[in-house]
Amino acid sequence: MKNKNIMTRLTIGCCVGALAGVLTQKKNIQQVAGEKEKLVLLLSTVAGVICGICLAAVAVLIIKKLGGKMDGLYREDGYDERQLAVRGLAYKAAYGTLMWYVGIISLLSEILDISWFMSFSGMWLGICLSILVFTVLCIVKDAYMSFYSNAKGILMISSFVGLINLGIGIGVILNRNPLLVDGKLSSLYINLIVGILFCITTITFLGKIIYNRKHREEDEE
Amino acid sequence: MKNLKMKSARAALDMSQQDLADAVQVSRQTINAIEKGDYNPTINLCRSICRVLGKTLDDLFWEEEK
Repeated sequence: MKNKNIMTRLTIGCCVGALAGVLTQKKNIQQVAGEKEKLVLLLSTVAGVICGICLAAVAVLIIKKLGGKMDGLYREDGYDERQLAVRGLAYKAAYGTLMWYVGIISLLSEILDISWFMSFSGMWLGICLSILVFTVLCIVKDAYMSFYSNAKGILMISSFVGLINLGIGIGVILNRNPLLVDGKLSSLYINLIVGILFCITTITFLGKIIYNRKHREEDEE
Repeated sequence: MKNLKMKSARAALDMSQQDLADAVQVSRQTINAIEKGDYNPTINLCRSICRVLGKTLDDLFWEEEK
């Protein structure tokens, strides 16, 4: 039942990712003249979703095998009162970050005519920034993991996702794809942004685990 | 302000922070934060801690006026 819950969330995540891919490819699909090419693009998107579901299933199986228990990796009912309070403040900070980001890029666009971030990837950058603020605050204040969370599983998933996205992002840079397309941040750089987000999260989480282990005896004294 | 009364009551029962945390169903860090005075627990958590440590609210959480 718990694994089903994780599978559902991972699958939803993959489908949202595929949908984001469709949205970014919408322009390309419209520009393709032939019906055959349109069909190929749509079929490749469907294949992407199916691939995402399969990847989610494989990820759950691997983590279950290597990381031991998968009990409620994403359950939200396992936080104590202090953790819930901290998470509330972290949500507030993340919301504030997103508001500031939207405000700043809107002003940049309207007043200074700099519209680098007024694009799909610009929007992702804002979302990633706010998620980063939330995650780092929760990790630092020991409110990231619930009682049912498995640190090994979280580390494995976030490092896996981070490295995959970072790899794709570095590939985009090595292929010398332009950072700006039509004066806006290219959607090809989304993977790099997500990769950096997950890598920072993983490093912070790992650092906090090591710090807690080192200071555990001190706390008891 | 550090809650030394709670810390000594826990130590008297030879319990670690993790043991107490498991008994009252909170994280070890929350128990640590209460003992260090970084977090003020709700009355429900105070009652749970008192129950596990066999003390009253006054014993653990009442500050004597100077």
